[in-house]
Formats: sequence, structure tokens, C-alpha cells
Amino acid sequence: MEEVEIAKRAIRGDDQAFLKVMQLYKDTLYRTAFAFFKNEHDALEAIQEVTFRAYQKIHTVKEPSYMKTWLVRIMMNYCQDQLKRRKRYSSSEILQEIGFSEDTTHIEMNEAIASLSSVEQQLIFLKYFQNTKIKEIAELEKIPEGTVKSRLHKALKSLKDFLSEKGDADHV
Amino acid sequence: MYEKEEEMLDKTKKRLEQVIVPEQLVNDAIQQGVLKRKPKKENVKKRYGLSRLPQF
Repeated sequence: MEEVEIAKRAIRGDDQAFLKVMQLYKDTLYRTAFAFFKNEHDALEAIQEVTFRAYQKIHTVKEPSYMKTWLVRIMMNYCQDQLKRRKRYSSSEILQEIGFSEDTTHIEMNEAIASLSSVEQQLIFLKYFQNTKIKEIAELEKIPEGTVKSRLHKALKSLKDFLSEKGDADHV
Repeated sequence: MYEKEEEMLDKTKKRLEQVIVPEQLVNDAIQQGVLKRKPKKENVKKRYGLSRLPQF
């Protein structure tokens, strides 16, 4: 069955279809949670909570083809809330444990992403990690496409500034 | 304009894609999420003030 058709059935209240939706996007959701928490335990807890939240709210989804992005946004909101609540949000921690090689690009970039506002983090995550189209982000956020583009531009500029500042500081 | 940053973001994304998903544990978490229900409010017995105690 096609993804959109499964999503439509899930929105109409079909429990089996809802489980199929979660199966379809579980890898993406787990990796999203892992990006924020960097450990399996918290990522699994996030999956459980996001499943619960999505199950309660799935009838509110208006565009079935945006189901994946809708779920990822719930996940990002949950992760950001949890991290704020725990007050252990250390920018340099994110994703560091994923490292398999000596390439530190991801560590620098994750520090830079963590320095952004919650909204900018979500935009960067959706656009560059999930390849979500500007149009889709705009519709989900209920803002004009131009606003998404300008916010992305601002977020990229912030990343650039952070990285260049850090680069300067590292060479002092 | 932001080629370097976009390249770094792409590398970070690829790194994230290498994270191994623990299939069974994730499936269990999904099941538990579906089964999770908000606890129902318990029926709390009404308490009466001294003035409302039955008089003998």
C-alpha cells in the first residue's frame, strides 16, 4: 500500500494503519531522537512518548503526504522540551558519541546547530537532515515560503558566524 | 554563499544515518506508546468540614 494511503487510513482512526506509519518512519524518528539525546535509552523513551502523542493527535493531520515531517516535528519538540527541562543541554555533547572516525566536522557542526534558536534548529534539521521541501515546511509552519527561506538564510549565517568565531578562538 | 556550511551539514547528516537502529527495542517502544493511556482521575471521596459532620 502506498505511504499516503496508509497515512490517510491512520488519520481516519485505523490502528493497524497507524502502526504501519510508525514502522515506516521509525528509523528516522529514532535517529532524530538520537541526534538530540545521543543515547539509546532516551531515544527509545522519546519513541514511546512520540508514539503516544501522535496516536492522540493523528486525526488532526490535514495533509497525509506530510505525515513523516509531522512526526519529526513532534519528535523535535519533545526532544527540545526534555533537554530544556533537564537543563543539561550542552552544545558540545550532541552527536559526539556517534563518531566513528577522526573527522570532527560533525562535532563542530553540532556545536554550531546547538547555538541556534529552537526554531532555527528545527528548520536546519528539516531542510538539511530530512530534505524537506521549503513548500512543505511553509505549509506546516503556516508561514509564507519567503519567510522560510529568509529564516534558513539567517540560520545559515548564524552557523557560519559561529564556526568562524570558533575557528578564530581555536587558533588563539 | 554557504557552500562550506551546507557541505558540513551534509557530512553530519550522513553520520547520523550511520546510527544503528535497535529494531526490536524500537518496536517495543512503539507498542508501549500505543498502549500508554493517560491515568484516569481517581474518584476522591468528598471530605466534609467539622461543621458538616453528622450531629448526634
